[in-house]
Amino acid sequence: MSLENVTIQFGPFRALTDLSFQIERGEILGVAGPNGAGKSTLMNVCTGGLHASRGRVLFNGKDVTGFKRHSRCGLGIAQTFQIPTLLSSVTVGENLLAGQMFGSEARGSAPDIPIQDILYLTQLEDTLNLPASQADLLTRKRIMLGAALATGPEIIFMDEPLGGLNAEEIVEFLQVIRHVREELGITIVMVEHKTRALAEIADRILIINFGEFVMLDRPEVVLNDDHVVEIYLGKKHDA
Amino acid sequence: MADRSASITSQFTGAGLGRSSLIFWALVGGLALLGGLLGDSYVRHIFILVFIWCIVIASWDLILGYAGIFNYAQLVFFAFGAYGSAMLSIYAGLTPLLAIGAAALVGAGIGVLVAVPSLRLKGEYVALFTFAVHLALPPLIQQGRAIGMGGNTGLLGIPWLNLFGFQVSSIDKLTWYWVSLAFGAVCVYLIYFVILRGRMGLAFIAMRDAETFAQAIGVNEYKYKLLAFVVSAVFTAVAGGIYAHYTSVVTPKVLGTEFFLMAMVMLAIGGMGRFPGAIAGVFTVVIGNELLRSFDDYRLLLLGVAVVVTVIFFPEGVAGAFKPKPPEKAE
Ligand SMILES: Nc1ncnc2c1ncn2[C@@H]1O[C@H](COP(=O)(O)OP(=O)(O)OP(=O)(O)O)[C@@H](O)[C@H]1O
Ligand SMILES: [Mg+2]
Repeated sequence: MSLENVTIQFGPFRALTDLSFQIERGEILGVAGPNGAGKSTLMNVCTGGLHASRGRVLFNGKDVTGFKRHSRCGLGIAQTFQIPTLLSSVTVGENLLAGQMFGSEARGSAPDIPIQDILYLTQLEDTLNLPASQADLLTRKRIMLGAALATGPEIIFMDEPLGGLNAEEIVEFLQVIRHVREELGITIVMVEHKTRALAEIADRILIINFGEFVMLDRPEVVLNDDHVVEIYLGKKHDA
Repeated sequence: MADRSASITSQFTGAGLGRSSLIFWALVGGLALLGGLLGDSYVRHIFILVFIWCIVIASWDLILGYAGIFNYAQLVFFAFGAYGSAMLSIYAGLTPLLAIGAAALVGAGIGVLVAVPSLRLKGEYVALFTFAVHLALPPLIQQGRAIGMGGNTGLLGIPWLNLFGFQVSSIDKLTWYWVSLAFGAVCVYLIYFVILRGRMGLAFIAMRDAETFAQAIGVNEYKYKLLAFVVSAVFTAVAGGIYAHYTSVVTPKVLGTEFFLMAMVMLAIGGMGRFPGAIAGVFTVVIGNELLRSFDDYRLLLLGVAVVVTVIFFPEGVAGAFKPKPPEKAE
């Protein structure tokens, strides 16, 4: 997927300014930046939750700028959210079923990822009949990811997948994310505040600040960059 | 990695449908027998109303309780069904059964007309808009006198139901009991066991539970919300048609406060979005309302008190009170 000069305007406020970059097939791309930098906004402009005020979003060579969320889902673009949301009045299994059912409907054919693989990756086999409302945080994240995978995506945008997890759970969930890429070959874009975890898993990291592109490079380069360090130490940024 | 492509079993893929259908139809069979045992034609009349209400409330539950759309134009669909079926049989000479079928089509059209503006609005504004439609309809019916809608006095002399050459008069309560039970049972079955336990039902619940998540996993919100309006309107219009041929009179009173309140109370007491809550609400309220008839002036007040009490003590309806408490969440 690639973004070309994407700007998002909320009234007089610009949440993203003239952003251009490309996501490589099969990579894990980390996205970082201070609170309010526009990371969630960026996720949404890629998945169809928001439409670019200016600029274009291309996916597999196709201009998807005007496509809604469900149509982009049909093209193979999935998303998980910063605040874990799921279908709380049905079971865990039915959450996955919904992903499978409506994902197939949106794309017009059955998904290529067998549900068994998804259950194996997310380790949800034993909780299929649990009411989703009773799942703990880590399980909720597994469900959200599982439902997204069930739609049969090529790329997943994950907004702060590690948020709220303790150290042990972070290790566990990072492993799940890694497997998604390795076993299923799905491209992953993940927003994360925890830069150490991000450096560990990501192939490249994109830094944005005040809705503007700062840099995009390998983790060791990005996290040793003076300018990035300055942003993270909270110094006044005047670029 | 496992290579079986097994699928998830769920009520949305038909699991347990046979068993629950059996229970449902056994209960319907029981009610059919009860109709023969009840000697009193007034009691039969009350049950006939219950069966017709069941269709309306199940349809309302579908859109409000399951799809989470704040639609308050339910009785508008009912009124169009009743007037549509009445006028088609009076003026166009359609046999009532056919007129009821045509009323379903009228309902579908009205469903689309109410849906299209509603789909552009957010949450509570849908409630305002649809209720405004409800309020605007009686004056329109007044104006409709010119095209034979009968104005304030309504339409009289709506033809009796004709079942395969057999005229069912309004005083033939036993036949009407069975006819309305059959219609009610089939509609309720289609709504709760076929539609809501299939793809559409899961889409409705998904949009209600988590709108953006639903879109992200491929739910076409516009399509399914439109379907919610149309399906709900079609069934409700059928109920209106049956009502018209049963009472053989339709007046703008079907849009009156008392009807509207009764419908609200049924849903509130029964609990929305959880079968059989709403259906239990219909039986409770219609029968309760009859038992309270001797209190006359205080009846509406008592209904109001009943709502307040349920809303405060059983916020999920009477059905919710029987729901097992979820175990404490593990941290
Ligand atoms: N719908 C909206 N209308 C107006 N302003 C918005 C809207 N959504 C986001 N914003 C603003 O855009 C900016 C970027 O928000 P965004 O949620 O993308 O930040 P973020 O980088 O994800 O932050 P966090 O780390 O806190 O999740 C914020 O200043 C926010 O207040
Ligand atoms: Mg965010």
